[in-house]
Amino acid sequence: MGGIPTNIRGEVICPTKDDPDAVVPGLMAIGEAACVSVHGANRLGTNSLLDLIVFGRAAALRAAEIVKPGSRVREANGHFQERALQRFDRIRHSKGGNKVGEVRPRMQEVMQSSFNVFRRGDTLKEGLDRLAALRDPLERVTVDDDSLLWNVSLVSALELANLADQAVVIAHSAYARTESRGAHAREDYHQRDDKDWLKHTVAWKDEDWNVTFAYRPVHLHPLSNDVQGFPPAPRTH
Amino acid sequence: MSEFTLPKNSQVGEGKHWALPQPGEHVKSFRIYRWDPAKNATPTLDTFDIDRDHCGPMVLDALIKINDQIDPTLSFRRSCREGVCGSCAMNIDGTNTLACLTPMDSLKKGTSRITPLPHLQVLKDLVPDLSGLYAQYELIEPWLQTD
Repeated sequence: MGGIPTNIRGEVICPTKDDPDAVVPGLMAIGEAACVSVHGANRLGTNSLLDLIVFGRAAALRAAEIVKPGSRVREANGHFQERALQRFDRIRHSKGGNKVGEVRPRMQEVMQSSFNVFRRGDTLKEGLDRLAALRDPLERVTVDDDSLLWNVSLVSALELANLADQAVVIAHSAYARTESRGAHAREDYHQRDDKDWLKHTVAWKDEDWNVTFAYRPVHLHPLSNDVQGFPPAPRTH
Repeated sequence: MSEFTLPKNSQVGEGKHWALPQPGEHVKSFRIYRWDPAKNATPTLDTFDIDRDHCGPMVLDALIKINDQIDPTLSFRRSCREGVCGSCAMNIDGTNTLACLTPMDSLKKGTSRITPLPHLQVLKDLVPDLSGLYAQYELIEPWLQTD
């Protein structure tokens, strides 16, 4: 299912033209944030323990390999530092007029009604439009308190901005994937379509809410000779 | 003759009353401990009236409603809202408990009092300093030990 794509060592992957599994040096993700993608298109309840126990350990072992004792943390690129701080300051001092606590339920309602368990092209499209209409209120909230001590209204505003990013990429990805697979059930495309869709979606969202996609192949072969791979099969009850 | 003084911030005053804009049929009131280190003032108990017809059933729902609609500066910890993480531990009507697992129906009639967990330094409002707890937690090495 979704998340920050990683390899089996917890290293974040950002596909390039030549390498669908290109590693972002020094960046790692584990647990519910990550997508090692051992669960296929639906992570069943409690299977998250796999990410905790197996990949948490694998990530720690890999980190111990890459980080040499006594080595210095590389200086952050000034441009990116500036961008992160600007975003923080913009949200901290935002006085757009909308209450976070009022905009968030509106976004939740759109996500709940259009991008829910059973999805359909026309309602997904409607949801995309309704989400786009929320862009202005989402970006114009008011943070009443600029203190840096346990400032809940600032945290809520930052969380709302992060949720909006997630909502937009989830929405566009769901609309683009014209098949049913795992947790993504389309009423207008009942079947799994391995010819066109046996691949991971990688999505980028820019500041103008444009979403672009790339695709990565799915690793279907176990790394051990002791077990057979599981080719995708129809789910029957 | 010996002279005793109370520790700093131990005297709690009466705070603001956030009344409902219109009177509701099912109203629950909470007196909630407020203290902001940035303001040079002693703690107060603010009163918040909650319209239960437009609120979830748990005390945490009421706190989130306060944050979303009444006073976004009220600070408290929360995370899973289902009794797993323990973040919303606080003292409700004299009992240390989790706000997410306490139904408002289970509270006494009238006004309920919410204060931070006792015997801990308060960082802000309902947020106590847990660094001592984490230090003790680390001391017992609470993870699976292998040989």
